[in-house]
Amino acid sequence: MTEPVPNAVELRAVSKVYGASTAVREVSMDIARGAFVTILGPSGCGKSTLLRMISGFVSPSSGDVLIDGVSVLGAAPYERDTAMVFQDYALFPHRTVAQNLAFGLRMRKVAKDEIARRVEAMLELVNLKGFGDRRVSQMSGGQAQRVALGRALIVRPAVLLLDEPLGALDLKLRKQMQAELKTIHRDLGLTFVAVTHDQEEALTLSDRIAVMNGGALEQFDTPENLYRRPATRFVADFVGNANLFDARLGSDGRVEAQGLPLTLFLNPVQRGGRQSGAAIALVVRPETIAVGATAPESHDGRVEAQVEEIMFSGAVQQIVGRLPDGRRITAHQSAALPAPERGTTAVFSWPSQSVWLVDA
Amino acid sequence: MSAARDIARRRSRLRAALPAAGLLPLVLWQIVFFVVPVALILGLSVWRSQSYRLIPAFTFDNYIAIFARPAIWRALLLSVETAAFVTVACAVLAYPVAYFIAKKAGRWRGLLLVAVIAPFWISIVMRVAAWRLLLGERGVINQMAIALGLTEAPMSFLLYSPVSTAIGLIYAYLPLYVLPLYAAISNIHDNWIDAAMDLNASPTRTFFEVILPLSAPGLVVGAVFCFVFGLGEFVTPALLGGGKQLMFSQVIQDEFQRRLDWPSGAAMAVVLLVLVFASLALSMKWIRRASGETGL
Repeated sequence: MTEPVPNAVELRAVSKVYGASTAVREVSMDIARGAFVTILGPSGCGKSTLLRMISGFVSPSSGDVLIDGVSVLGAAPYERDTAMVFQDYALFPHRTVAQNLAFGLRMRKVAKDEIARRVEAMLELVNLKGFGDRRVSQMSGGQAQRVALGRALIVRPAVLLLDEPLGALDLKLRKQMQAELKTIHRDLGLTFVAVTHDQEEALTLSDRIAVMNGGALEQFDTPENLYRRPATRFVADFVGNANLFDARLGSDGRVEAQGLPLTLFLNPVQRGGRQSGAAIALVVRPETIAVGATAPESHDGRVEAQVEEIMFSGAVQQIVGRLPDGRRITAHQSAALPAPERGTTAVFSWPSQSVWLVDA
Repeated sequence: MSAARDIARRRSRLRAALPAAGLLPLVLWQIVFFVVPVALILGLSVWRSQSYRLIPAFTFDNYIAIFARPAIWRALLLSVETAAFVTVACAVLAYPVAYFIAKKAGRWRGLLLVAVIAPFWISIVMRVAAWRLLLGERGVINQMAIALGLTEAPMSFLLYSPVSTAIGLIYAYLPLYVLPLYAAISNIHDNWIDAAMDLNASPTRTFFEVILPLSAPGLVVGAVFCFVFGLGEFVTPALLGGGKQLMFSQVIQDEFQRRLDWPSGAAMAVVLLVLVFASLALSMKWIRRASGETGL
């Protein structure tokens, strides 16, 4: 019988309490070897604290942290096999690019000629060949980012931690670095754990996303599941755009929205074992909604709304409608389709299979 | 046409000169109180003195004469030794203080900085006099040592010796070392320290690899303050040194006031000045290297 491969990181009900406030509340998470996991959440949700608990700079108030199957609670940051890419890069200003890259290897007492070889290879990997003798103050933002990434990667840590790694870059550079980060992750096969507040970055980069809110883990799942099958109202709202309608579950999958002339019939998978009478919210993604004078035959969810705003953004046009009770409904439809007139009343409709339920 | 161009040129020259005019008071001050006295000393050092009278000349005899007197060599050596010892002692004592204020003091930082500077509000003579009460044979320290049975007879080397001069100087210069060190250490980002630890550097290695090299500018500036001031210090050795072992500044004063050999005293002053400028030049080089690259 072979031993099962331990997870790169296991968090077991970790909490962090600062005085009267709880930064992290009972978070449990298994991060498999070679995975690219992103911890996503608004600022102050505890995601950075969680990252620093893995790196060892913050010790949990309760719970356990395991790296490669071994508890590291007693281990200081310099005793853990993790390496962090800091938000502001934290490059050593008194050292050259090559010396920054070599630092971790020197601390791990790697032989000199091997250090030289690995530094050269890393310069190539992060596209900085020939920059080894530069001072870090001469690096641009994107280059500094690569040095920071290389300095952490070069020690081949059990877990690479990235704290808002692309936050300081402009949009175009960010896109480029996202692609490079993904390639490097695939090529090296290391475990990456990143923290970000940018949901698009999380969706693009990771295999799995942990959505956090108020210190608690809301959902830990694949990007697709987070989007299509959000576990909570917060996740539905935070990841992507969503129209949320409060409703009550009736018998036989009958759902009546509150304050709207809207009745849908949902299948058992969508109901997810909820009892009839449960207070729920309907999650309707904007791209599933069609806008027109009439609704297509297959669209059994339909509401009338006054077209308030039409925003054109290239491939997609965003149509905002005002419902009779004053709430707004947003639809994204192809810019190739005809847009309704502003101010007119149109039917916003969607098929009930595309709807997802969360607890209200 | 060329006249118009002339006016325009003159106007632009005037505009360029205006900001420089703001420096005028400083320049004047430097000329009157630094350049002129130094020039006088330089000129005086090549004159001759005969039966207490100054005779204009151009001779290096004074320089040759002072290097021929062993007492002067001893005084110069004592000055350099004392200044060097005081500098090292101040660095060792100031570092933890500056580090604590910069990194650990939190909201007490402002108060602690004021506490460091506070001794400057009292005249140096008063502060030195206070040390005489502490270090004397019937002083606080000796009384306590006897009361505790640590020693039977009072320790006489404490006052009126190079030891008491060094103690007085360390006490006087410590704030001068703490302040530049504090400035350098507070410029070290906590993230750099975290990054070193994260890359498996133990706290000791982190100190020697990151914290100490990045404190270098403060260490050098503080050392320059202490060494240069210590080299030329007069008040403290005069009040605490006891007069048996003279420091260089005391010998210079002696030369001017007791022996009335001004050219010889001026030559000694020039030697001291050269020494000071040499150590300044050396430290500038260090600072440049400290802010530049260090070996892998």
